[in-house]
Amino acid sequence: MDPAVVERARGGDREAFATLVGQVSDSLYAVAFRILRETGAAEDALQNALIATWQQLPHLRDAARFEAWSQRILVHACYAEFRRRRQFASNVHLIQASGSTDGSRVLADRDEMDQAFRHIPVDQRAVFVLHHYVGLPLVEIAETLGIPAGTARSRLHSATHSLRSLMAASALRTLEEGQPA
Amino acid sequence: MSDDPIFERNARAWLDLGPSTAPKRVVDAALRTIASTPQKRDLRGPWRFPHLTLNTRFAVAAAVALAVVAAGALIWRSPQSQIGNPSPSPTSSPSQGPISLQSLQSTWASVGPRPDAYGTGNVQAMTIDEAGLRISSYKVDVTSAALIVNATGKLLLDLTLRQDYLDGDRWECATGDMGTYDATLSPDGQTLTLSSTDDSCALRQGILVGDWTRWDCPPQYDYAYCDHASELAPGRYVAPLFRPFHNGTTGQLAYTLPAGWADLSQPPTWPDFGVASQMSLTRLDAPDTRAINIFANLHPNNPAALPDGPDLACHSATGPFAAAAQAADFLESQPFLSVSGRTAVGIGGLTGVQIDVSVASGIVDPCSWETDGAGQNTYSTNINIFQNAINEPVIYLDSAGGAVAHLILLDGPGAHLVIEVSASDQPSLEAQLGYAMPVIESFEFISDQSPSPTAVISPSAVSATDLQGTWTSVGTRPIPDAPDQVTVFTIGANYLDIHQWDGDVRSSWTLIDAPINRIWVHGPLATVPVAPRWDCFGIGEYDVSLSTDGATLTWTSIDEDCSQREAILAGDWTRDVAAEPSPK
Repeated sequence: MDPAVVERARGGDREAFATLVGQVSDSLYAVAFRILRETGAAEDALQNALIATWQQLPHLRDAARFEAWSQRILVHACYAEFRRRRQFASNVHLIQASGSTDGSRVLADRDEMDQAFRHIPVDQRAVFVLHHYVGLPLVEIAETLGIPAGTARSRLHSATHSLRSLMAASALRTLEEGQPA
Repeated sequence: MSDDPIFERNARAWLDLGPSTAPKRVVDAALRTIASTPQKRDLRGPWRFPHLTLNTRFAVAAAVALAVVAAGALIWRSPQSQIGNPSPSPTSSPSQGPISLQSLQSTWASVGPRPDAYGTGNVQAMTIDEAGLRISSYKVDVTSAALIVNATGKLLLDLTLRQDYLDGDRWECATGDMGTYDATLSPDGQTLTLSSTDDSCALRQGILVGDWTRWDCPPQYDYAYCDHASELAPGRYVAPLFRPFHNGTTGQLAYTLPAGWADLSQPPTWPDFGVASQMSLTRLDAPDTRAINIFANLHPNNPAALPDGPDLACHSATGPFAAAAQAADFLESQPFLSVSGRTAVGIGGLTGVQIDVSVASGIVDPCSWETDGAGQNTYSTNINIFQNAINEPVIYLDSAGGAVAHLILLDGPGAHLVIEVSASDQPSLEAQLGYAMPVIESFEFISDQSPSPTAVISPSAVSATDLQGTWTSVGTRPIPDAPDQVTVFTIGANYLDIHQWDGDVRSSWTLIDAPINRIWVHGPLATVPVAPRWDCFGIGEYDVSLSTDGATLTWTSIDEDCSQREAILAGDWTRDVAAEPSPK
C-alpha cells in the first residue's frame, strides 16, 4: 500500500481512493464473507465499509496503517450487518450432512464447522477469522480491532472452545442417529 | 492458541473455502456512492458521540475543558463574530532567526474571518505538515506543496490539488499555481503570521495572509483536525456557522455570554450541514455538565423502548414535529418517558413549549444491543428521543443513570428547533439551568429574508413540508422482478416509504440546498423484511417538482444507485388527500 496514494485519498482524491479500493476490496470481502457466512450480508458489509472508509479517511493519521484501519472498519461493518439482518429474520441456511460416500467425512466436518460457526457471537467470529484466515497474531488483532490484547485472546479462546464443543455435540448426534462416523 | 493442531488445520482449511474476490458490481456501487459522498471532516464527535452515556459525555467534556483551562497558552479569545468591540488579536511579534518548515507543522486556526470561495467566511483552519499545506475549504482540502527556500527564508507554495477538485470547490486557481510568503512566528510559537505579495492563486493568498493561532490536537485525538473549547470574552456574539432556519441554511443566532463560556463550534470545525444545523455553548468551569445544545430540524423518535426482559422486539418510528406543541404531545404520549413542567415559552423571538424529560429506570432500547460471550444480549439503556434530518440519533437519555433533560421546543421559519440542557440527575440539572437559562434568555433568532450564500432558495422552491404526504401512482409502476405493482408511497418528515404488497421499503431523504428542488434519497434502510429483489443500497439524486396546486409531484432521476427505487419513483404522482400522511 503506497502511503502517498493513501495521503492523496485522505485529501479527497477519489481516484486515489479507487486505487486503494482495488487493492483491498478482495481481501476485505473475503474476511467479511468468512465472518458473516452469507454472500448478501458480506456484500453489504463490504459496501458500507468502503463508504465509511472514504468518509472517515481524513481521520487516519498514519497512512502506513491504512490496510489494518480499513480492516477495523470492515469488521465493525460486519457487526452492524449481522445485527441488522438478525433484527429482521433468521436467514441461516443449514446444509444437510452428506451421505456415506467417499470423502463424506470431510464434507460433513465442513458442514458441522459451518453450522457451529453460525452459533458463535460475531465478535468471536471476527477474531477467529483474523487469526486463522488472515493469519494475524493476537497482538495485531487487538490493534486492528481497537480492543485489549486480553480481550482478543479470550474471544479466540471462546470461539475455539465453542466450535469444538458444538462440533463434538453434532458428531455425537450423528453417531446416535446411526450415521457413519 | 489451540492445543489441537488437527482442529486448527481443519479450521484453516474450512476458512480457505469460499470467495476471495469481491464482486465488481458491489465495488462499483460503493465507488458510485463515494462519488457523491463527502468525507467527514467535522470532528465534533467527542461532544455528540451518540453511543456515549450522558455521564461519559460529561466526563469527556470535562476532561477537554480542564485541559483547555490548564493549558492557558492555548486559550484563545476569538474576536471574529463578536458584536461590539472585538478583543485584540493575539500578540504576533515576529521571532528572530531562520524559520523551518518543521517549526510550522501544526494545525492553525484562523484569527479573524477569512472569506472562502463561497464568500461565507468559513475557512477556519489550515494544516502544515510533512505533506505540505492544506486549507480546510468547503468541499475538499486544498493542498499545496510547501518549501522553505534556504537562501531567502521564504515559504514557497505550489498548488497541488487536482484541477477538477479546485473547480468543484469554486477555486478560480490552477493546479501548479505558485505563491511566495513571508512566515513569522511569535516568540512563544503560538501565532503564525503570513504575508505575501506574490501568489498566482489570489484566493489562496486572500485566505493565508494574516494571523493564525496554533491549534495542536490533544493527545487523545487521533484526527487530522480537532476541536478545542475556546473561552470567549464576555459579550454578545453571533454564531458564525449555525443557521437555525430552513434545514440549517438560513437565519442566525445571537447570544450574550458572561465570562468563562465557550462556543464548541468555534474553529477549527468543518462548516458542513452538521455544524450549520447544531451548535453547543459550554461553561468551562462549571462543576457539572454545562452544555447548551441547540439543534435545528430535529424530530422526536420513538424507539419503542421497553422494560428489559426476554423477547424484546425492535420496532421504531419517528414522531411528528409540525409544531413544538405537537412534538411535546408526542413525547408525553410515550409510556416510557416522564414529561413534566410543560409550559409555553418565548425565546429569542420564537415561541414554543418547554418540558423536562426523563426515562424510567430499567427501560432499554431493544434496537441496540451487545452480545456477550455466552450469547446473551445486553440492551442499551441510552434511549434516543430525538433524531436529525437524516435519522441520526441526536439526543439520548440514559435510563440507568436517572438522566434528565430540559428541552425547549421552538417553532421557527421552516424549522423545528430544540434547545437541550441535560444533566445526570435532577439536582445537577437545576444547578446547570441556573447557569444556562440567562444565556438562553439572551438568545435572539435572526431571520434573514435573503438566504445564506450557499443556500439559494427561490420563491418557487418546494419545501420539505410540501412534499410530505401520501402519493398515488399516475400510471402503472411494476415492481422489478415481482408480479405486482407499487401504487402508493408516503413521504414523512424524513423518511420515504414505498408500499409493496409484502412490506414497505424505507429510505431517508433530504432536500439539498442547491440547486433548488434537488432531493437525496438514501437507503433502503430496510425497516421491514426486504425481499431479495431490493438488493441495492445507496444514494439517489432526483429533481422534484410540484404542480401549482400542489396535487401532482414529479420525480426526475439525476443519479441513482438503486435501480429498483428509480424504476418506481421516477415520473408523476398525485397527492392522496384522503390518506394520513404518516401511516407508521
